[in-house]
Amino acid sequence: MILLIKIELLKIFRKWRTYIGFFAIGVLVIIIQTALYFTGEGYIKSLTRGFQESFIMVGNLFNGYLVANLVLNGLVIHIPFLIVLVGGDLLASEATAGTYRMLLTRPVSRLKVVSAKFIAGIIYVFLLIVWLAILSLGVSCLLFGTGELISFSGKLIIFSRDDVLWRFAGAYGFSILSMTTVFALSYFFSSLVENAIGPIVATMAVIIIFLILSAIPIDFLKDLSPYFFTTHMVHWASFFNDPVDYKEIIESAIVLFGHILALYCITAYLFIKKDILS
Amino acid sequence: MGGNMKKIIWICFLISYIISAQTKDPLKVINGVIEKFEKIRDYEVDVNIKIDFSMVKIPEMNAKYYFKQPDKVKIDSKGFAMLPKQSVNFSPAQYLRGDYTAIYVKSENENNRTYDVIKIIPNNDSSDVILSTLWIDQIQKVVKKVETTGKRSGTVNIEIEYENEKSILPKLVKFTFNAGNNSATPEANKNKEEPKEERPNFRRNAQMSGKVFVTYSNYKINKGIPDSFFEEKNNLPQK
Amino acid sequence: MSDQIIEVRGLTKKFKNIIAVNNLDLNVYRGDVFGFLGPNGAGKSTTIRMLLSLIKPTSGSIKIFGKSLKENREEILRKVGAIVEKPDFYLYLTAYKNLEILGKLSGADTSKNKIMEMLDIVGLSKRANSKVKTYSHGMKQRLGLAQALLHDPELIILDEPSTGLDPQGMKEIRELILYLSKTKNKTIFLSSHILREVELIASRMIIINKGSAQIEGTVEELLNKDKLTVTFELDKIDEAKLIIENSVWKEKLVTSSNRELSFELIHNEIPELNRFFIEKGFSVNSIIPVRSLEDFFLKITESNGK
Repeated sequence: MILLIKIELLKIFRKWRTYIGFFAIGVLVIIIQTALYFTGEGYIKSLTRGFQESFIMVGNLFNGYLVANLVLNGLVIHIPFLIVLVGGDLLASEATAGTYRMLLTRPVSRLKVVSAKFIAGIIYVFLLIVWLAILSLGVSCLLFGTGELISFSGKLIIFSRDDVLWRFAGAYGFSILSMTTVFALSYFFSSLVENAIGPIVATMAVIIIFLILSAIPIDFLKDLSPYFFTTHMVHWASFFNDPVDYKEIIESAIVLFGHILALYCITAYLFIKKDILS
Repeated sequence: MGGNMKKIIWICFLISYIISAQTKDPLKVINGVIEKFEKIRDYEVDVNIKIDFSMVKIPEMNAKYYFKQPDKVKIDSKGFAMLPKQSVNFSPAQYLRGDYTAIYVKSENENNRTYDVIKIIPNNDSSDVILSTLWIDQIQKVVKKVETTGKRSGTVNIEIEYENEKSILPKLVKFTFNAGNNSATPEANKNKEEPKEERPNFRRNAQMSGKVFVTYSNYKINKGIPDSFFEEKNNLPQK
Repeated sequence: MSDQIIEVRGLTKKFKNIIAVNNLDLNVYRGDVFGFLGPNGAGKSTTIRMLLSLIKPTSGSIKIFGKSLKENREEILRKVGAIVEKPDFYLYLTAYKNLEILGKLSGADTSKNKIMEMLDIVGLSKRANSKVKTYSHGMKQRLGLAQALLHDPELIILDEPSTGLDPQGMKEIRELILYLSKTKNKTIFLSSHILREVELIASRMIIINKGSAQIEGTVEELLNKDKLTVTFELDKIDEAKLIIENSVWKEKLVTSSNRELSFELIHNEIPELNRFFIEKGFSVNSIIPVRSLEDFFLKITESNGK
């Protein structure tokens, strides 16, 4: 199994399209950091405008933690597309290339093959989010220093500097779970077709549809929205509330994990039963 | 003119004499506090700030600040700190800047202490402060309470506690902010020449209701802080 | 150890309403070069995919090495090497890397020496580090053979192995197959449309059409079941025509030309007719059996189509 996972990782990382995600994040983070370098103080002022009449403020609220938080807020909605570029390709590309005939005539079970690909995909998701964390948090802290984190989510919250890192760890960790759900969906679609474009488009379509339906203020749709995985994906932001609603986070984590497990099981079942005609 | 008229005049004179004897000179009262405060040439103190606003969550902050007469202030903090502007200078002289009218309102008793209540009204329309009311301890000659109403900042109540009767500098100051009262003053909203983002904002002002507790400890008074110390770059108060 | 390597009974595959393979039986024995023949759409690829568990049969059984494929898939495939239709590889990887990956999955020795040795056998050692996307079709075919042989399988299933190869390449494949069969005692299951290739190297064969077996046996047996078209190249061709017209051989004459006469004969009639011409004073320059397995194959499939 380890051998299979290593082989799948080799195949993923030898394809140029895998690096689109890393490159895109690299470019975007640098652009955001550059923009904030010039306008970050103004952003802080706009957040704290209500206090400026009555308060003196000292210290550096514009720091690496703020930049990382803004990057996370800005990018997390767009990262799914970078995930599905790889997820949608994992199975479909074997069909397109005809390599199923080589791969599935080896003395390894189809369950192991589909599982190894799934695990390799999750590793890719993990590495992409780690890359995001390194660039957005690590590099930002090097460039802008650390300090208190100011956040506005319903109310203005300032976290003391030693109360920040674990929140980012939780947020990135939850983001990995969210993005793994996206990956699992694209992986499932990838098992159904023989062309990677279909799963990529289908997954993004599902995400967009769920997001739109969740936003429409109709009672019926609001009742449905807890069943959309997109509703739960956003709870990485709950780590930046005070107090943190752990119940909400755990419930969402369970929902997302359930989606991942269900999608994996369905994909594995279909893959094992599939006639390889390509 | 008969004797009745003379009686009326004497009665009026007597009444006005009694009244004038009970109305103090507000400036004299305030200057009594200023004189006492001016015995302190400089000081440094550790402060702890707790903010309790409904729409705001900020952890306890610590800072150190330095004061030198007449109005040099420096604030040092390892991290972020947010202090009410009124927490840095306790001299009532700050309320007497520019052109103003001071009115002695009354003498008030509270908790077995008697306070002189004085209102200060800036005569300049460009001043942000509309009205300040000071409660000054008659015996201790320190400011015990201040209520300030500003065009943008709303009303701030400041309650000051001292270590003992001889203390000039506070040990605890409680600020109560209430922005709702004045957030929609016609004067403020009429100033259309201000950039839009500078105009008072209803939503932002909702954040400004709450309390701030500032605790002062480890005073080091009259240690001779040089002027150059206040010219250093670090930690000048943000505007 | 059983001599029967592949045993298929009642193998059927239906795709919705289409019966691709219909109740097929076949037997392959150890050391066979087994020819698997049929026209396009006969069900050859479907059968091969079922043998390799790429497709699940609708009904029937497959035993390889005496064991059920359904229950012992991994154990069986460890001893099977295969090319299924056009060999496809990971185009973004080098030939070396492709072989290394596929070899590791098969449990092969994937040391550098072994892989390079295999690439050398198929004539690709100089292009080992080139990405497969730069390979021609023929080169991919060779690489396909390399991946099928790398783990030293007992059974080798080859689906059109000579496709895309030049005559020299085809010759080399034939020689390799014969070497594997006779020297290494490998069993070869060979599907091909190049019937002359099958005729030259197969020991046993089956012809299928429309998913069903038409005939199965040794090549020799199958050829003897039918008549040959034999062409005699003679001098004095006009005289020869006249003599044949007046002889018992008249009914056997099929075609004639300026230099040749063609007859439909059974095997033992060939020397008899040859003696006839010689006794009549003709010089027989050559005797060429024109009808071969190709004609046999076409006849079988056409007759079934009627």
